Amino acid sequence: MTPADGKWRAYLLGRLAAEEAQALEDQYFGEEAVFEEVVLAEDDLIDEYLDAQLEGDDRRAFEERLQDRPELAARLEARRRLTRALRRRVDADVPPRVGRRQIVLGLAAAAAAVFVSVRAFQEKPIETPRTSLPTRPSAVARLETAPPAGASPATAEVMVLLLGAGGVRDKSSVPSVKRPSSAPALRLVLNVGAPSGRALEVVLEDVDGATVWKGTGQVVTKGPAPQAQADVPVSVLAPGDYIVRFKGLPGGEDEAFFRVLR
Amino acid sequence: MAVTARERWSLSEPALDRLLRTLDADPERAALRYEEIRRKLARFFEWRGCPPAEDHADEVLDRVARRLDEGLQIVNVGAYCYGIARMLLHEIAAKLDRQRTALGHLAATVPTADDDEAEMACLDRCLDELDASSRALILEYYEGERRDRQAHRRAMAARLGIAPNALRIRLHRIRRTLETCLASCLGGRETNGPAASLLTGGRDDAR
Repeated sequence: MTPADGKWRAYLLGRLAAEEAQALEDQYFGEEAVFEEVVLAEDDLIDEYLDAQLEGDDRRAFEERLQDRPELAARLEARRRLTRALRRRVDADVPPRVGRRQIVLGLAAAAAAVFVSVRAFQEKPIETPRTSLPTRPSAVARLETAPPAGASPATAEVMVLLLGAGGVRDKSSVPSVKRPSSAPALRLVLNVGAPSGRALEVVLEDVDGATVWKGTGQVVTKGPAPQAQADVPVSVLAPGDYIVRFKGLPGGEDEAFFRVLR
Repeated sequence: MAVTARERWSLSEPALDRLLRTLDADPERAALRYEEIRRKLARFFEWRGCPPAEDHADEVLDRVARRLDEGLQIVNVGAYCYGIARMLLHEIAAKLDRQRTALGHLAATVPTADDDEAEMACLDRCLDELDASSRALILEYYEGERRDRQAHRRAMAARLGIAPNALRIRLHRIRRTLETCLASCLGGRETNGPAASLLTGGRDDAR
Protein backbone atom coordinates (compact mmCIF):
# COMPACT_ATOMS: atom_id res chain seq x y z
CA MET A 1 0.00 0.00 0.00
CA THR A 2 1.40 3.39 -0.99
CA PRO A 3 1.20 6.46 1.27
CA ALA A 4 -1.39 7.82 -1.12
CA ASP A 5 -3.43 4.65 -0.71
CA GLY A 6 -3.41 5.26 3.03
CA LYS A 7 -4.81 8.74 2.46
CA TRP A 8 -7.54 7.52 0.17
CA ARG A 9 -8.46 4.75 2.54
CA ALA A 10 -8.80 7.26 5.35
CA TYR A 11 -11.05 9.33 3.12
CA LEU A 12 -13.09 6.33 2.06
CA LEU A 13 -13.53 5.24 5.65
CA GLY A 14 -14.59 8.71 6.74
CA ARG A 15 -11.53 9.34 8.84
CA LEU A 16 -10.43 12.66 7.43
CA ALA A 17 -11.28 16.07 8.81
CA ALA A 18 -13.54 18.11 6.57
CA GLU A 19 -10.69 20.29 5.32
CA GLU A 20 -8.53 17.31 4.43
CA ALA A 21 -11.42 15.58 2.70
CA GLN A 22 -12.12 18.71 0.72
CA ALA A 23 -8.49 19.00 -0.31
CA LEU A 24 -8.56 15.44 -1.61
CA GLU A 25 -11.79 16.08 -3.44
CA ASP A 26 -10.20 19.10 -5.09
CA GLN A 27 -7.44 16.78 -6.23
CA TYR A 28 -9.60 14.06 -7.68
CA PHE A 29 -11.99 16.48 -9.35
CA GLY A 30 -8.99 18.11 -10.95
CA GLU A 31 -7.01 15.04 -11.96
CA GLU A 32 -8.39 11.90 -13.50
CA ALA A 33 -5.37 9.90 -12.34
CA VAL A 34 -6.07 10.83 -8.73
CA PHE A 35 -9.69 9.83 -9.10
CA GLU A 36 -8.54 6.44 -10.41
CA GLU A 37 -6.36 5.99 -7.38
CA VAL A 38 -9.28 6.56 -5.06
CA VAL A 39 -11.42 4.13 -7.00
CA LEU A 40 -8.66 1.52 -6.84
CA ALA A 41 -8.20 2.08 -3.14
CA GLU A 42 -11.90 1.40 -2.68
CA ASP A 43 -11.52 -1.70 -4.83
CA ASP A 44 -8.91 -3.00 -2.41
CA LEU A 45 -11.11 -2.19 0.56
CA ILE A 46 -13.93 -4.23 -0.95
CA ASP A 47 -11.63 -7.18 -1.59
CA GLU A 48 -10.20 -7.00 1.89
CA TYR A 49 -13.66 -6.79 3.42
CA LEU A 50 -14.86 -9.82 1.50
CA ASP A 51 -11.78 -11.81 2.50
CA ALA A 52 -12.14 -10.78 6.14
CA GLN A 53 -8.79 -9.02 5.91
CA LEU A 54 -10.31 -5.74 6.94
CA GLU A 55 -10.35 -5.79 10.68
CA GLY A 56 -11.09 -3.80 13.78
CA ASP A 57 -11.97 -0.15 13.37
CA ASP A 58 -11.48 -0.28 9.60
CA ARG A 59 -14.02 -3.04 9.26
CA ARG A 60 -16.51 -1.29 11.50
CA ALA A 61 -16.09 1.96 9.59
CA PHE A 62 -16.54 0.17 6.28
CA GLU A 63 -19.68 -1.59 7.50
CA GLU A 64 -21.12 1.67 8.75
CA ARG A 65 -20.64 3.15 5.32
CA LEU A 66 -22.19 0.15 3.67
CA GLN A 67 -25.37 0.86 5.58
CA ASP A 68 -26.08 4.18 3.93
CA ARG A 69 -24.35 3.74 0.61
CA PRO A 70 -26.45 1.44 -1.55
CA GLU A 71 -24.09 1.99 -4.47
CA LEU A 72 -21.19 0.66 -2.46
CA ALA A 73 -23.31 -2.24 -1.23
CA ALA A 74 -24.21 -3.10 -4.82
CA ARG A 75 -20.58 -3.06 -5.88
CA LEU A 76 -19.66 -5.21 -2.94
CA GLU A 77 -22.31 -7.75 -3.85
CA ALA A 78 -21.21 -7.77 -7.49
CA ARG A 79 -17.62 -8.33 -6.40
CA ARG A 80 -18.64 -11.07 -4.00
CA ARG A 81 -20.44 -12.89 -6.80
CA LEU A 82 -17.61 -12.48 -9.28
CA THR A 83 -14.93 -13.54 -6.84
CA ARG A 84 -16.90 -16.61 -5.80
CA ALA A 85 -17.44 -17.64 -9.41
CA LEU A 86 -13.89 -16.94 -10.54
CA ARG A 87 -12.36 -18.79 -7.64
CA ARG A 88 -14.56 -21.76 -8.37
CA ARG A 89 -13.58 -21.61 -12.03
CA VAL A 90 -9.90 -21.36 -11.23
CA ASP A 91 -10.10 -24.24 -8.77
CA ALA A 92 -11.81 -26.39 -11.33
CA ASP A 93 -9.46 -25.49 -14.16
CA VAL A 94 -6.02 -25.75 -12.69
CA PRO A 95 -4.11 -28.95 -13.21
CA PRO A 96 -3.92 -31.51 -10.43
CA ARG A 97 -1.42 -30.77 -7.69
CA VAL A 98 -1.59 -27.06 -8.40
CA GLY A 99 -5.07 -26.02 -7.44
CA ARG A 100 -5.24 -24.92 -3.88
CA ARG A 101 -8.61 -26.48 -3.32
CA GLN A 102 -7.24 -29.76 -4.52
CA ILE A 103 -4.41 -29.67 -2.07
CA VAL A 104 -5.31 -32.55 0.10
CA LEU A 105 -3.49 -33.94 3.00
CA GLY A 106 -0.54 -36.09 2.28
CA LEU A 107 -1.58 -38.64 4.79
CA ALA A 108 -2.21 -42.19 3.66
CA ALA A 109 -5.86 -42.87 3.08
CA ALA A 110 -6.40 -45.32 5.87
CA ALA A 111 -4.69 -43.39 8.59
CA ALA A 112 -4.91 -39.91 7.24
CA ALA A 113 -6.78 -38.32 10.06
CA VAL A 114 -7.33 -39.08 13.63
CA PHE A 115 -10.15 -37.44 15.38
CA VAL A 116 -10.53 -37.78 19.06
CA SER A 117 -12.25 -36.18 21.93
CA VAL A 118 -9.87 -35.84 24.77
CA ARG A 119 -10.65 -34.87 28.30
CA ALA A 120 -8.35 -32.12 29.37
CA PHE A 121 -5.37 -32.99 31.48
CA GLN A 122 -5.78 -36.70 31.08
CA GLU A 123 -2.62 -38.07 32.48
CA LYS A 124 -2.84 -41.43 30.86
CA PRO A 125 -1.08 -41.47 27.50
CA ILE A 126 -3.22 -42.43 24.59
CA GLU A 127 -2.05 -45.08 22.22
CA THR A 128 -0.28 -43.61 19.26
CA PRO A 129 -1.10 -45.36 15.99
CA ARG A 130 2.14 -44.73 14.19
CA THR A 131 3.15 -48.05 12.88
CA SER A 132 1.24 -48.14 9.60
CA LEU A 133 1.67 -44.54 8.69
CA PRO A 134 3.83 -43.13 5.96
CA THR A 135 7.37 -42.11 6.74
CA ARG A 136 6.96 -38.49 5.75
CA PRO A 137 7.24 -36.61 9.03
CA SER A 138 4.23 -34.45 8.41
CA ALA A 139 2.15 -37.53 7.84
CA VAL A 140 2.67 -38.96 11.28
CA ALA A 141 -0.58 -38.98 13.15
CA ARG A 142 -0.83 -39.22 16.86
CA LEU A 143 -3.10 -38.24 19.66
CA GLU A 144 -2.36 -35.84 22.38
CA THR A 145 -3.94 -34.37 25.42
CA ALA A 146 -4.18 -30.70 26.10
CA PRO A 147 -6.80 -28.23 27.18
CA PRO A 148 -7.97 -25.53 24.86
CA ALA A 149 -6.44 -22.19 25.57
CA GLY A 150 -8.14 -20.43 28.43
CA ALA A 151 -10.40 -23.32 29.29
CA SER A 152 -11.03 -24.65 32.72
CA PRO A 153 -8.95 -27.78 33.19
CA ALA A 154 -11.72 -29.52 35.07
CA THR A 155 -14.29 -29.33 32.34
CA ALA A 156 -12.49 -28.49 29.16
CA GLU A 157 -12.56 -30.82 26.25
CA VAL A 158 -10.73 -30.47 23.02
CA MET A 159 -10.89 -32.37 19.79
CA VAL A 160 -7.74 -32.92 17.86
CA LEU A 161 -7.31 -33.35 14.15
CA LEU A 162 -3.87 -34.20 12.93
CA LEU A 163 -3.08 -32.80 9.53
CA GLY A 164 -0.36 -33.22 6.99
CA ALA A 165 0.55 -31.03 4.10
CA GLY A 166 0.97 -32.43 0.64
CA GLY A 167 -0.41 -32.64 -2.84
CA VAL A 168 -2.45 -35.80 -2.81
CA ARG A 169 -5.52 -35.28 -4.88
CA ASP A 170 -7.26 -38.48 -3.86
CA LYS A 171 -10.30 -37.24 -1.97
CA SER A 172 -10.52 -40.46 -0.04
CA SER A 173 -7.52 -39.32 1.88
CA VAL A 174 -9.09 -36.11 3.05
CA PRO A 175 -9.06 -36.09 6.83
CA SER A 176 -12.63 -35.87 7.96
CA VAL A 177 -14.12 -35.22 11.31
CA LYS A 178 -17.66 -35.24 12.55
CA ARG A 179 -18.68 -31.83 13.68
CA PRO A 180 -18.02 -31.83 17.39
CA SER A 181 -21.21 -31.52 19.40
CA SER A 182 -19.83 -30.68 22.80
CA ALA A 183 -16.22 -29.62 22.52
CA PRO A 184 -15.60 -25.88 22.27
CA ALA A 185 -12.76 -26.19 19.83
CA LEU A 186 -11.18 -28.35 17.22
CA ARG A 187 -7.42 -28.38 17.53
CA LEU A 188 -5.73 -28.51 14.17
CA VAL A 189 -2.25 -29.92 14.35
CA LEU A 190 0.26 -29.91 11.53
CA ASN A 191 3.77 -31.28 11.73
CA VAL A 192 6.25 -28.66 10.60
CA GLY A 193 9.91 -28.72 9.79
CA ALA A 194 11.38 -26.50 12.43
CA PRO A 195 10.48 -25.01 15.78
CA SER A 196 9.46 -21.41 16.06
CA GLY A 197 9.03 -19.11 19.00
CA ARG A 198 6.73 -16.79 17.12
CA ALA A 199 2.97 -16.76 17.28
CA LEU A 200 1.45 -18.01 14.07
CA GLU A 201 -1.29 -16.41 12.11
CA VAL A 202 -3.87 -19.02 11.25
CA VAL A 203 -6.50 -18.59 8.56
CA LEU A 204 -9.32 -20.98 7.90
CA GLU A 205 -11.06 -20.76 4.55
CA ASP A 206 -13.97 -22.56 3.01
CA VAL A 207 -13.89 -23.99 -0.50
CA ASP A 208 -14.99 -20.71 -1.97
CA GLY A 209 -11.97 -19.04 -0.51
CA ALA A 210 -13.98 -17.11 2.04
CA THR A 211 -12.26 -16.70 5.35
CA VAL A 212 -14.36 -18.28 8.05
CA TRP A 213 -11.98 -17.77 10.92
CA LYS A 214 -8.72 -16.06 11.68
CA GLY A 215 -6.74 -16.51 14.82
CA THR A 216 -3.39 -17.32 16.24
CA GLY A 217 -1.56 -20.54 16.76
CA GLN A 218 1.78 -21.69 17.99
CA VAL A 219 4.49 -24.16 17.26
CA VAL A 220 5.03 -26.68 20.03
CA THR A 221 7.68 -29.32 20.18
CA LYS A 222 6.46 -32.60 21.50
CA GLY A 223 7.82 -35.85 20.23
CA PRO A 224 9.76 -36.18 17.02
CA ALA A 225 8.68 -33.06 15.20
CA PRO A 226 7.59 -29.52 15.98
CA GLN A 227 3.89 -29.03 15.43
CA ALA A 228 1.88 -26.02 14.46
CA GLN A 229 -1.32 -25.93 16.43
CA ALA A 230 -4.45 -23.83 16.45
CA ASP A 231 -7.73 -24.15 18.31
CA VAL A 232 -10.59 -23.32 16.01
CA PRO A 233 -13.94 -22.62 17.66
CA VAL A 234 -16.40 -25.33 16.76
CA SER A 235 -19.04 -22.66 16.30
CA VAL A 236 -17.47 -21.58 13.01
CA LEU A 237 -17.24 -25.10 11.60
CA ALA A 238 -20.27 -25.92 9.50
CA PRO A 239 -20.11 -29.21 7.61
CA GLY A 240 -17.94 -28.75 4.56
CA ASP A 241 -14.40 -28.64 3.24
CA TYR A 242 -11.80 -26.33 4.66
CA ILE A 243 -8.26 -25.30 4.08
CA VAL A 244 -6.20 -24.10 7.00
CA ARG A 245 -3.15 -21.95 6.53
CA PHE A 246 -0.45 -21.52 9.11
CA LYS A 247 1.48 -18.31 8.47
CA GLY A 248 4.70 -17.28 10.13
CA LEU A 249 6.37 -20.66 10.14
CA PRO A 250 10.16 -20.72 9.80
CA GLY A 251 9.71 -21.89 6.21
CA GLY A 252 7.01 -19.35 5.50
CA GLU A 253 3.56 -20.83 5.25
CA ASP A 254 2.01 -24.26 5.19
CA GLU A 255 -1.51 -25.36 4.58
CA ALA A 256 -3.69 -28.42 4.80
CA PHE A 257 -7.12 -29.51 3.79
CA PHE A 258 -9.76 -31.23 5.87
CA ARG A 259 -13.45 -31.93 5.91
CA VAL A 260 -16.08 -31.48 8.59
CA LEU A 261 -18.94 -33.93 8.41
CA ARG A 262 -22.40 -33.63 9.87
CA MET B 1 -34.58 13.88 -2.07
CA ALA B 2 -35.78 17.34 -2.76
CA VAL B 3 -34.58 18.73 -6.03
CA THR B 4 -36.14 22.12 -6.06
CA ALA B 5 -34.14 23.40 -8.99
CA ARG B 6 -35.35 20.54 -11.12
CA GLU B 7 -38.94 21.37 -10.24
CA ARG B 8 -38.56 24.87 -11.59
CA TRP B 9 -36.30 24.15 -14.51
CA SER B 10 -35.80 21.03 -16.49
CA LEU B 11 -32.96 20.21 -18.80
CA SER B 12 -33.78 20.96 -22.39
CA GLU B 13 -31.92 19.70 -25.41
CA PRO B 14 -30.49 23.15 -26.26
CA ALA B 15 -29.31 23.54 -22.67
CA LEU B 16 -27.61 20.15 -22.77
CA ASP B 17 -26.01 21.04 -26.10
CA ARG B 18 -24.72 24.25 -24.59
CA LEU B 19 -23.24 22.38 -21.66
CA LEU B 20 -21.57 19.89 -23.98
CA ARG B 21 -20.18 22.63 -26.17
CA THR B 22 -18.76 24.33 -23.11
CA LEU B 23 -17.03 21.11 -22.15
CA ASP B 24 -15.43 20.63 -25.56
CA ALA B 25 -15.98 21.79 -29.09
CA ASP B 26 -15.68 18.24 -30.31
CA PRO B 27 -18.98 16.41 -29.58
CA GLU B 28 -17.31 13.08 -28.90
CA ARG B 29 -14.78 14.50 -26.50
CA ALA B 30 -17.52 16.56 -24.88
CA ALA B 31 -19.58 13.43 -24.27
CA LEU B 32 -16.59 11.70 -22.70
CA ARG B 33 -15.88 14.69 -20.53
CA TYR B 34 -19.53 14.82 -19.46
CA GLU B 35 -19.42 11.17 -18.38
CA GLU B 36 -16.13 11.69 -16.59
CA ILE B 37 -17.59 14.57 -14.57
CA ARG B 38 -20.77 12.64 -13.89
CA ARG B 39 -18.81 9.61 -12.62
CA LYS B 40 -16.82 11.79 -10.28
CA LEU B 41 -19.90 13.56 -9.03
CA ALA B 42 -21.67 10.27 -8.39
CA ARG B 43 -18.72 8.95 -6.44
CA PHE B 44 -18.41 12.21 -4.56
CA PHE B 45 -21.98 11.98 -3.31
CA GLU B 46 -21.60 8.32 -2.58
CA TRP B 47 -18.37 8.77 -0.66
CA ARG B 48 -20.00 11.59 1.24
CA GLY B 49 -22.87 9.26 2.11
CA CYS B 50 -25.64 10.93 0.12
CA PRO B 51 -27.67 8.45 -1.85
CA PRO B 52 -28.96 8.27 -4.48
CA ALA B 53 -25.61 9.48 -5.72
CA GLU B 54 -26.42 9.37 -9.40
CA ASP B 55 -29.52 11.47 -8.98
CA HIS B 56 -27.49 14.09 -7.18
CA ALA B 57 -24.85 13.98 -9.90
CA ASP B 58 -27.56 14.62 -12.48
CA GLU B 59 -28.94 17.41 -10.36
CA VAL B 60 -25.55 19.13 -10.32
CA LEU B 61 -25.20 18.83 -14.06
CA ASP B 62 -28.72 20.18 -14.51
CA ARG B 63 -27.91 23.16 -12.37
CA VAL B 64 -24.74 23.87 -14.30
CA ALA B 65 -26.62 23.57 -17.59
CA ARG B 66 -29.17 25.97 -16.23
CA ARG B 67 -26.53 28.55 -15.32
CA LEU B 68 -25.12 28.30 -18.82
CA ASP B 69 -28.62 28.58 -20.23
CA GLU B 70 -29.04 31.76 -18.25
CA GLY B 71 -25.92 33.18 -19.89
CA LEU B 72 -23.29 32.57 -17.25
CA GLN B 73 -19.77 32.15 -18.61
CA ILE B 74 -18.05 29.19 -16.96
CA VAL B 75 -14.37 28.73 -17.68
CA ASN B 76 -13.66 25.53 -15.76
CA VAL B 77 -16.81 23.44 -15.82
CA GLY B 78 -15.27 20.62 -13.76
CA ALA B 79 -14.33 22.90 -10.91
CA TYR B 80 -17.67 24.66 -11.15
CA CYS B 81 -19.48 21.33 -10.92
CA TYR B 82 -17.54 20.50 -7.80
CA GLY B 83 -18.56 23.81 -6.28
CA ILE B 84 -22.21 23.15 -7.07
CA ALA B 85 -21.85 19.63 -5.72
CA ARG B 86 -20.56 20.94 -2.41
CA MET B 87 -23.46 23.38 -2.20
CA LEU B 88 -25.90 20.59 -2.91
CA LEU B 89 -24.22 18.49 -0.28
CA HIS B 90 -24.97 21.17 2.30
CA GLU B 91 -28.57 21.35 1.13
CA ILE B 92 -28.91 17.61 1.42
CA ALA B 93 -27.30 17.56 4.84
CA ALA B 94 -29.76 20.18 6.01
CA LYS B 95 -32.78 18.34 4.68
CA LEU B 96 -31.86 14.74 4.83
CA ASP B 97 -33.49 12.73 7.51
CA ARG B 98 -30.70 10.24 7.63
CA GLN B 99 -32.55 7.29 6.33
CA ARG B 100 -30.45 4.28 6.79
CA THR B 101 -30.72 1.42 4.43
CA ALA B 102 -31.05 -1.80 6.31
CA LEU B 103 -27.90 -3.83 6.28
CA GLY B 104 -29.93 -6.96 5.85
CA HIS B 105 -29.50 -7.09 2.11
CA LEU B 106 -25.76 -7.17 2.56
CA ALA B 107 -25.76 -10.47 4.29
CA ALA B 108 -23.99 -13.00 2.16
CA THR B 109 -26.52 -15.09 0.38
CA VAL B 110 -25.93 -18.77 0.39
CA PRO B 111 -26.13 -19.82 -3.21
CA THR B 112 -28.09 -22.91 -4.07
CA ALA B 113 -26.78 -25.52 -6.47
CA ASP B 114 -28.94 -24.01 -9.21
CA ASP B 115 -27.53 -20.57 -8.49
CA ASP B 116 -24.04 -21.99 -8.69
CA GLU B 117 -24.70 -23.62 -12.01
CA ALA B 118 -26.24 -20.50 -13.52
CA GLU B 119 -23.47 -18.35 -12.13
CA MET B 120 -20.76 -20.56 -13.56
CA ALA B 121 -22.46 -20.76 -16.94
CA CYS B 122 -22.72 -16.99 -17.01
CA LEU B 123 -19.15 -16.56 -15.90
CA ASP B 124 -17.97 -18.81 -18.71
CA ARG B 125 -19.99 -16.80 -21.18
CA CYS B 126 -18.59 -13.54 -19.83
CA LEU B 127 -15.05 -14.88 -19.87
CA ASP B 128 -15.56 -15.89 -23.48
CA GLU B 129 -16.48 -12.33 -24.31
CA LEU B 130 -13.15 -11.07 -23.03
CA ASP B 131 -10.16 -10.92 -25.29
CA ALA B 132 -7.72 -13.76 -24.75
CA SER B 133 -5.13 -11.74 -22.89
CA SER B 134 -7.67 -10.27 -20.48
CA ARG B 135 -9.11 -13.71 -19.85
CA ALA B 136 -5.69 -15.17 -19.15
CA LEU B 137 -4.80 -12.25 -16.94
CA ILE B 138 -7.87 -12.43 -14.74
CA LEU B 139 -7.62 -16.20 -14.34
CA GLU B 140 -3.97 -15.95 -13.43
CA TYR B 141 -4.79 -13.27 -10.91
CA TYR B 142 -7.42 -15.40 -9.24
CA GLU B 143 -5.11 -18.38 -9.08
CA GLY B 144 -2.90 -16.60 -6.62
CA GLU B 145 -4.66 -13.64 -5.07
CA ARG B 146 -5.93 -15.49 -2.02
CA ARG B 147 -2.47 -16.00 -0.61
CA ASP B 148 -1.08 -12.49 -0.67
CA ARG B 149 -2.89 -10.18 -3.05
CA GLN B 150 -0.33 -7.44 -3.23
CA ALA B 151 2.66 -9.74 -3.55
CA HIS B 152 0.85 -11.67 -6.25
CA ARG B 153 0.10 -8.48 -8.14
CA ARG B 154 3.71 -7.36 -7.89
CA ALA B 155 4.93 -10.71 -9.19
CA MET B 156 2.47 -10.63 -12.08
CA ALA B 157 3.42 -7.07 -12.95
CA ALA B 158 7.11 -7.96 -12.94
CA ARG B 159 6.51 -10.91 -15.20
CA LEU B 160 4.43 -8.80 -17.59
CA GLY B 161 6.96 -5.98 -17.46
CA ILE B 162 4.45 -3.34 -16.43
CA ALA B 163 4.04 -1.14 -13.38
CA PRO B 164 2.04 -2.70 -10.56
CA ASN B 165 -0.44 0.14 -10.71
CA ALA B 166 -0.97 -0.37 -14.41
CA LEU B 167 -1.77 -3.98 -13.72
CA ARG B 168 -4.07 -2.96 -10.91
CA ILE B 169 -6.00 -0.69 -13.23
CA ARG B 170 -6.20 -3.34 -15.90
CA LEU B 171 -7.47 -5.92 -13.44
CA HIS B 172 -9.98 -3.45 -12.13
CA ARG B 173 -11.36 -2.85 -15.60
CA ILE B 174 -11.61 -6.52 -16.37
CA ARG B 175 -13.38 -7.24 -13.13
CA ARG B 176 -15.85 -4.43 -13.65
CA THR B 177 -16.54 -5.69 -17.14
CA LEU B 178 -17.13 -9.18 -15.77
CA GLU B 179 -19.31 -7.91 -12.95
CA THR B 180 -21.45 -6.00 -15.39
CA CYS B 181 -21.67 -8.99 -17.69
CA LEU B 182 -22.50 -11.35 -14.84
CA ALA B 183 -25.24 -9.09 -13.54
CA SER B 184 -26.73 -8.81 -16.99
CA CYS B 185 -26.45 -12.51 -17.70
CA LEU B 186 -28.04 -13.49 -14.42
CA GLY B 187 -30.81 -10.99 -14.97
CA GLY B 188 -29.80 -9.14 -11.85
CA ARG B 189 -31.37 -5.90 -10.85
CA GLU B 190 -28.21 -4.07 -9.87
CA THR B 191 -29.50 -0.75 -10.98
CA ASN B 192 -26.94 0.91 -8.79
CA GLY B 193 -24.41 -1.73 -9.58
CA PRO B 194 -21.19 -1.60 -11.39
CA ALA B 195 -22.62 -0.94 -14.80
CA ALA B 196 -25.46 1.37 -14.06
CA SER B 197 -23.70 3.57 -11.61
CA LEU B 198 -20.45 4.22 -13.28
CA LEU B 199 -20.10 2.72 -16.66
CA THR B 200 -21.36 4.00 -19.90
CA GLY B 201 -21.12 1.83 -22.92
CA GLY B 202 -18.77 -0.52 -21.20
CA ARG B 203 -16.39 2.18 -20.13
CA ASP B 204 -14.93 1.96 -16.73
CA ASP B 205 -14.38 4.38 -13.93
CA ALA B 206 -10.68 3.63 -13.62
CA ARG B 207 -9.53 4.15 -17.15
